[in-house]
Amino acid sequence: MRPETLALTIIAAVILATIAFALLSVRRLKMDPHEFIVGSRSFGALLLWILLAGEIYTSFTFLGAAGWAYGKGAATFYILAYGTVAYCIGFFLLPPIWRLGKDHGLLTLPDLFIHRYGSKPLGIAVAVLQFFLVVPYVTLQLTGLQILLTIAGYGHYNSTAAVSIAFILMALFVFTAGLRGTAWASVVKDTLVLGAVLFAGIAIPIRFFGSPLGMIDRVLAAHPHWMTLPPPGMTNAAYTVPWFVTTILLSGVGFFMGPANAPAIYSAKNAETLRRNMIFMPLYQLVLLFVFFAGFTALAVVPGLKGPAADQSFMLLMQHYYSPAALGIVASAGCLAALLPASTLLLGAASVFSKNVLGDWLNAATGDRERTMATRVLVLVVAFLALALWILFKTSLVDLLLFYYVGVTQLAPGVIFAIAWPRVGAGAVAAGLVAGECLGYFFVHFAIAPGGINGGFYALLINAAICVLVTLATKKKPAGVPAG
Amino acid sequence: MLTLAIPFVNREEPRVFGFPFLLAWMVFWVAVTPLFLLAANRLGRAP
Repeated sequence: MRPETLALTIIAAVILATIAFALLSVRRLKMDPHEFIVGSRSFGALLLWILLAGEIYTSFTFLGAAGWAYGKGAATFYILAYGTVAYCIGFFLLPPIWRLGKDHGLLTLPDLFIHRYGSKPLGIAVAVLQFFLVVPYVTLQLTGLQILLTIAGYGHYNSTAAVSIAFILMALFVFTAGLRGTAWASVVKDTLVLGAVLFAGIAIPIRFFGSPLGMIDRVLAAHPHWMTLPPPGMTNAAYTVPWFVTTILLSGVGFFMGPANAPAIYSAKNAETLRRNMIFMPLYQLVLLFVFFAGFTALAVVPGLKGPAADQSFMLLMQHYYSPAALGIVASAGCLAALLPASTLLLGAASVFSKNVLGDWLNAATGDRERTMATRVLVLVVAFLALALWILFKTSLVDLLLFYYVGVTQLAPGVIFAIAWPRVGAGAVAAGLVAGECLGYFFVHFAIAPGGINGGFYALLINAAICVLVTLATKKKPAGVPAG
Repeated sequence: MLTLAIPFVNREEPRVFGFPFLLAWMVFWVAVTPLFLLAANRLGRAP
C-alpha cells in the first residue's frame, strides 16, 4: 500500500470508529433541548472531566503550541499558564453559575445575562456576538485539520476536499448525538491524543537527542535565549514579558466565556463535581509540556520553516522520520483534536442562536421538539459558514485563537459581576461590552500593543472600568429581575 | 506567582533538573495549584 493511502486510511478508520462508538453510547436517548444541549445536567466527574479536557486539546494545542515552540520559543509557555489561571477563576465562578442554571433552567450564557440583568436585548446581543465569534474559532480547527491531512497525504491529495468531507461528517454526527455524544467521542480522542503527545514529547527527543533534556541543551546551544522571553523595549521583539503576562490573564479570564463552555458547565451533576474538576484540571495542563518538547525537537531536526509553516513542524518531522502507520495514528489523534472541539463549538453556537435569537427574540421554535430541530439545523448552518470562511481566508492558528479570545473575553465582566455584584445593571454591562469589543477589535486588527501589553487586555480593563463607573453613576435598583 | 512573578524569573539559569529556570518555575506552579485549590475547597466547606 502506498504510504499516503495507509496513513489516510488509518485516519478515516479512527474517525469513523469514534463516531460509531459515540452514536452507540447515545442510541437509546430521547433528544429534547436539555438532553441535546446540556446532557440533562447529569454528567458525573469523569464525563465532565473528559468534556472539559477535550476543550483543551484542540488542533491548536496539537499544532499551534508546537508551532510556537518552534517559531517563537518561550512565548509558547503562555499556553501552559492560562488554563491554570482559568481553572483558579473557574473554581470560584462556575459553581454559582451552575446553581443559577439549575434553579432557573438556563441553557446558555446569554440565558444568564437575560436572567440576571433582566434584559432580553442584552442577552440576545451576547448570543449574536458568541455566534459570530465562534466561526473563526471553528475555522482555526479546520486550518489544523488541513495541515494534518496534507502531511498525512504526503501532498498527493486535495486536502480542501478531505477537510470538507471530514468536517461535514462531524457536523452530521453532532446533529445526531448532541453534547453527550460529543463527550463520549472525547473519551477516544483524549486517549489517542494523550498517547500521541507523550510519544511526541518523550520518544521523539529520545530518538534524536537521547532524552528531552538533551534536546533542550541542543536547542539552547543552537538558539541561545530561546527559552526565555525578550526583555521589554527590545527592538523587534513582539512577545515580551508584558505581552506574556497580560495574554495569560486575558486568556485565563476569557477561558469559560465561549458558547461551548456554558453547556459544559450546566451539564455537571452538581456544583461539587465542577469544583473537583477545577481543582485537578491544572495537572492535565502539564501534558502540554510534551507538546512544547515536540516543537523544540522539530526546531533542531527540521529547521528553517517560517511563519505559518512553523505550525507544520512537528507533523513534518513525523512524516520525514517515521513510518506511514505511525504518522497515520498521530495524525488521526490530531484530526480528532480538531473535529471534536469544533463539534462542541458548533453545538454551542447553534444552541445560543436557537434559544436566544430564535426563541427569545423572534419567538420562534419555542416548543421542545421545534427547538431541538432548530438547534440541529443550526449546527449544520454554522458548519457551512465556518467551512466557507476557511476556504476563503486562511491564517495562522494562534492569530485566529487570539482574535476569538479577545472577543469572548469581553463578556467576562458581565458574567463576573452577575455573580459578585448585585448592583450592576444591564446598561452598565452593555456600555462596557460595546467599548471592550470595539477596542479589542481595533487592537487585534491593527496589531497594536501599547507598551508591549496585549491590546485585548487594555480592552478588558476599559470594559470593566466603564461597567463600574456606569454602575456607580446610576441609582441603586433591585437586580436579578427574571426575563418575562 | 505563576503569572505576576514572570518578570523576575525570566531567565535560563539556574537550571532545575536540566530545565531552564522560567519553564521550571511555570511547571512548578501549575503542578502545585491543585494543592491550593484543594485547601480552598476544604476551608470553604469548614463549619
